[in-house]
Amino acid sequence: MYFNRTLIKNSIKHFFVVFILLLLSIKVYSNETSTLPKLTIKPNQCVSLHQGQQCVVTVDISWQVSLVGEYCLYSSLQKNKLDCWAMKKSGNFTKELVIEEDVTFTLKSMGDGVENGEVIASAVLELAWVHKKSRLSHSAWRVF
Amino acid sequence: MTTFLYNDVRHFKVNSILFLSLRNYLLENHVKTFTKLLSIPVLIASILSPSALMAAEEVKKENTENIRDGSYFDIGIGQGYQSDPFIFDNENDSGLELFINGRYQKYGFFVEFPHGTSKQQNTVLSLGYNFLNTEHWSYDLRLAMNHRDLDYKLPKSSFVNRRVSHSKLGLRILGDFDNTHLKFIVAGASGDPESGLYASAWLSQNYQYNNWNFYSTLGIEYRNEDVVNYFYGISEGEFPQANEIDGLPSYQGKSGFEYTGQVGFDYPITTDWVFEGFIRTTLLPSGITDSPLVDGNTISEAAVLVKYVF
Repeated sequence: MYFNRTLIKNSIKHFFVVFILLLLSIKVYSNETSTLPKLTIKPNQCVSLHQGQQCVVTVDISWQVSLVGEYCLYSSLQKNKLDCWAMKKSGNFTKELVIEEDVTFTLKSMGDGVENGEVIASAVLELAWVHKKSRLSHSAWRVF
Repeated sequence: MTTFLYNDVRHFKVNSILFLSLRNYLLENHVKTFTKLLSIPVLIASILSPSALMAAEEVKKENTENIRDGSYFDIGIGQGYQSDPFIFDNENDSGLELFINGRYQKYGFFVEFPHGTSKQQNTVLSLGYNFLNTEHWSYDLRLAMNHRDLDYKLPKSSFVNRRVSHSKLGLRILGDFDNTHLKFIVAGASGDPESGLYASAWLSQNYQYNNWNFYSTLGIEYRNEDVVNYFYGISEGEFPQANEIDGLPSYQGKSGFEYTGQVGFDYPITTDWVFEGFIRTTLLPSGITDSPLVDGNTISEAAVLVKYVF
């Protein structure tokens, strides 16, 4: 009787190990594109545990264009530019951010006499979460 | 409009069936215990939320659907560690462990499968009715086990003495205040010679550091003499004569309070996967630790796991 119970429990455990490994292998991410101009952010998603929480992420931004020139990087978090590059056709930028909503990054071409620049590429850092916010939530119940 | 009326009638019918079942259940088996139980939650409810009924009416006006209706399911696997003082019970071992949390609620009726990292793992399944929700409080009538099954297995003779825990009716009150969560339970429990009484109070506080979520939980649980005696008492001649229990005296349990402290963390790996861990210690009352079936007063548990949230 005891032997059978242990055997069944172990079988269930092994089944779920395989099941979870299968789930892990399902998600494959691929966001590569090869066309220019290109603005890439890594990661492109910041995940918090609960909806409504602040999310902390160190984002690596890289850009590439076909023509050498003056380019500036902006984000929807602030009015001022994050960084600028002169006589370049590619660049990188790294920053730790604390976000409460999606953040859009834009690369602008800063030609002579152009004050705000022309948007030539943009990318979005998405704020995501595991548990949706709700009153008397299931995740709160789970804590106990 | 027709659909609305139909749903109302159906909801009323389901409610009627539930209350008839509850009434029969109480009349047949647990009038005495329930009378004791009922006075305690009413007192708790009146202290904690004097405006509960008014608030509930407002909630009902806002939406006829129960606000806790919905489903939740997660499944995880990880490495667990457990040390307990139950000499002849080997139910919980260290090693690879499964953690599963499931809940489904419709029209206030719910079914729960709580086998995650919390202390509330004594019941295999619980069924209930979420009959009242206010801004911060939720009130459930619930059928659940309030102590796990114990199998005392004698190592040489392989004789097994099983203490089966039964599902009993009780009241659960959940409090939700942003990062602070409260839980109160008053319920029946398997007892000897009569149905026993179980009560518990839990406080949990959440903290966030970067994307790491930490929590600490404190809990106090009460089991009356009948419950302790049912699970940890030994009556004359209960075990057959065998070498390993020669000299074990009969034992009569007594009521007591059990204290639990737990700290843990959750880290979201993706929107579906969470890395989780916890350490928990439970101090048993003397009514349990004095039993010849128990050798020690502490249960220690810990685990790290990854889980998938559906």
